[in-house]
Amino acid sequence: MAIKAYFSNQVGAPTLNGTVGSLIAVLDACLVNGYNQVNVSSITRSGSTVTVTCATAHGYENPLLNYWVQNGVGNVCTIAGATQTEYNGDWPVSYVSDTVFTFDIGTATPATPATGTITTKRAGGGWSKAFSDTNRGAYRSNDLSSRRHFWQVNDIADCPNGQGARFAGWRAYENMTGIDQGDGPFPTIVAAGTFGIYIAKSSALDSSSRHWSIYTDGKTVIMTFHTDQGGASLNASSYSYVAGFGDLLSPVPDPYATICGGLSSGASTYSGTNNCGFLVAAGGGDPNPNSSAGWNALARTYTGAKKPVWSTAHLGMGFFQSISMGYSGGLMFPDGMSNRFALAQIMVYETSSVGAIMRGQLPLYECGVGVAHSNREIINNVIGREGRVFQYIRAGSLNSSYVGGAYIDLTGNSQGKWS
Amino acid sequence: MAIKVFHAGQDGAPSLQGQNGSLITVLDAILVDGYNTVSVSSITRSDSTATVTTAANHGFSTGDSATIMGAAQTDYNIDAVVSVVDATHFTYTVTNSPATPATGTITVKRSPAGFAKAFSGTNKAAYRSNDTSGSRPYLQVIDDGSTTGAAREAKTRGYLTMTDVDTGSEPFPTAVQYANGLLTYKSQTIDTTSRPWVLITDGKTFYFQAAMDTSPASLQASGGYLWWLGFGDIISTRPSDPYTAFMAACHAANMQVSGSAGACHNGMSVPAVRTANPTSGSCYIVRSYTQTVGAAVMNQMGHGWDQLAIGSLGIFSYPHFPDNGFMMTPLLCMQGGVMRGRMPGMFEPLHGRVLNQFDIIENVEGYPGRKFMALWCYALNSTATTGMFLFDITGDSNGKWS
Repeated sequence: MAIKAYFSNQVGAPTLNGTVGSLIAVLDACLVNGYNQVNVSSITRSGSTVTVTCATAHGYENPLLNYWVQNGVGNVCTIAGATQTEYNGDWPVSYVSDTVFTFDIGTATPATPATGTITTKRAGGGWSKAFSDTNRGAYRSNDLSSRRHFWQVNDIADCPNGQGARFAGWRAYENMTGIDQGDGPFPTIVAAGTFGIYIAKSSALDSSSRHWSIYTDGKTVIMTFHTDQGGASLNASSYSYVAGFGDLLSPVPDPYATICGGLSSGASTYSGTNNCGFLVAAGGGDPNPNSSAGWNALARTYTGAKKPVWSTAHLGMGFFQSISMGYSGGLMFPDGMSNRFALAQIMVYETSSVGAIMRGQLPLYECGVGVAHSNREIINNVIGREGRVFQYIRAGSLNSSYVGGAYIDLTGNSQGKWS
Repeated sequence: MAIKVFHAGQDGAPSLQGQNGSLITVLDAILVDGYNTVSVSSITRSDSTATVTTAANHGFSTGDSATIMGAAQTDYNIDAVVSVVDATHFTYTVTNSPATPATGTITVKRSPAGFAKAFSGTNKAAYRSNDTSGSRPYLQVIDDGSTTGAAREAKTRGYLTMTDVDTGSEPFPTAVQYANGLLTYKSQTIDTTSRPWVLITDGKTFYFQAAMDTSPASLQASGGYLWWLGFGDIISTRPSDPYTAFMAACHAANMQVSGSAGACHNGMSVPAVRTANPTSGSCYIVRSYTQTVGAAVMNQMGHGWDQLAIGSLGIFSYPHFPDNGFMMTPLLCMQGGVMRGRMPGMFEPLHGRVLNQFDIIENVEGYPGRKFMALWCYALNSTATTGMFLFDITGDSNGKWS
């Protein structure tokens, strides 16, 4: 397994726009099916290095020409159809040419060359679409070590304030038996209405494509949307959101630390950077995460009471307080002592009558230097996290004046999971 | 070696007063000499455990460090961490199986911190750690009542090296930064009233707190006059960094006389978030991160929330409900936006000031087996805002902060 990264400008990537169902198409492709399947002409192995030659362009980016790509992380292929089944599976790839890539097969030693009718594609994220309906889907992790709650996404232009297909709505359930049948919704209908949590897709009700990035370890999904941008410059977007769904990394066993986050409102703010749930900083953003306009819901309270909570604000533990994550600077970049770079974990907490409760960690990190990187820039050599590769994802938060961002771990642990 | 905690309530502890030379008397006893020497009636050994019977109360608590002297069997004559049996008995661990019972004219005292008094003069002293693993800076103390607060305060300054009690190189702060150095406060009044104090050290770095408004024994009862002197080596982010020496106290003299102003300028407790790029302050490191000669202002950063004093703002429940735990963060040493390192043995709680002075906690997430002592501090300009530090009183396997 590996952390998988999907980008709007990859070959074969689905299009997000201001029409119904486009978000479902993106999630189906990234989380479930993968994309850009091509035929494989040959597979050969030398030691643990497997060389795959494709009949047509495989679509993985050349890292020498695309600053957001690094060999061995993010781009993951699925190989299928090899008679020698050890070749089949998901592998992080290294670009060689537009039709050739390699991967590391580890200790397996299948016969070389491979035989069979072999195909490859960008791997799906390891999720299933458990239930579906027109322009709707309920997604669930395939990973049995996950909490495996359900994520219901509705992209049907039913945004209650007339914004139509600029927004989709989503919410999560502890369990589901059909696309409209579920237990333990979070947020509840009472808290968030039938629409659920807002997610902005596009500033316009048209088919102009918008940039996005999606990351998953098979248990948690982190997404960014650049709702005003159809062009080439991701850095020019003022309207970027970071949101998602899935397992928090909890400090103690916590079967209900699943987060479902997005925007608190779609009212006249579709083109602003309001209330970007995953990057609202504690104290700077909203010191009262129990306010009526929530951004993120957790499955249950810390006591396990079946009373879904608007959780949670976030804090980048250990760095300067910030209106939005990654907005405030203060630290020197790169650090004057080490010529390197430091990151702090973004934690999620729930407030309660006894004080805040630490519920877990997002697989996101905050820096203390302000906006120091370009969107999707790759960062190695992080102090204390040697050997891991991070990618900067830029976003606004809370108020359009504030641009921030976060760093996501592209490497994961030895199992290719966020931990 | 072990982390050592000294305080005014211990038997034989020196008295801190608003008198010239009083701070030197106290620091001599703590740092260099130890105190409360009592005669030993007998030492017997069973395996590696030596049992000491004293002629008078030994004054130790379990975990304290004792210096045993005078035994003819010299394997008994060591600095050791003691386990207390009762007021006149304790045990410690010896090696090499010396003969039992021990003979000779044996005494025991509270072990000193492990510093030397390198230079001295009338109401003057310069101290230096004996631990050669540190940078061994000098702390100059001039306790002659020559500042506006007179005998209420002493002038204190660090030097990278010294040649006599008045002469050194690379002072921190420099004479230009503060002509009197930083002030260490002793008492609100110029008299012989004893003021409570506490000092925690690993032999390289020490943190000293005194409550100058309170008499005699309760630091908790202080009305907001808890003053700090911190001195030693930070734990640098740069390997083999020769410029780790720091000092924190108060940059203003005569601050004790005006009520709430009394807690101003406390270099130990100013969060970096309050002063992003300070040009003056009450905590100095011997050189800038650029390694050019000249002391630089340093502040501390823990959780980073906007607060008036380290440890004053906490949002998390205590104890943390799901796991009954306690959460804290190391304190980073910030020279403006540059991370110089960590403060040795010093942490900030995420719960605010939820403990009393001297409270000891265990069960801290990520620090199994370690004990931490809570001590309070005050805000830059307000006695109304009380913060809190946690100090590691266990240390690493060598009894050091690392």
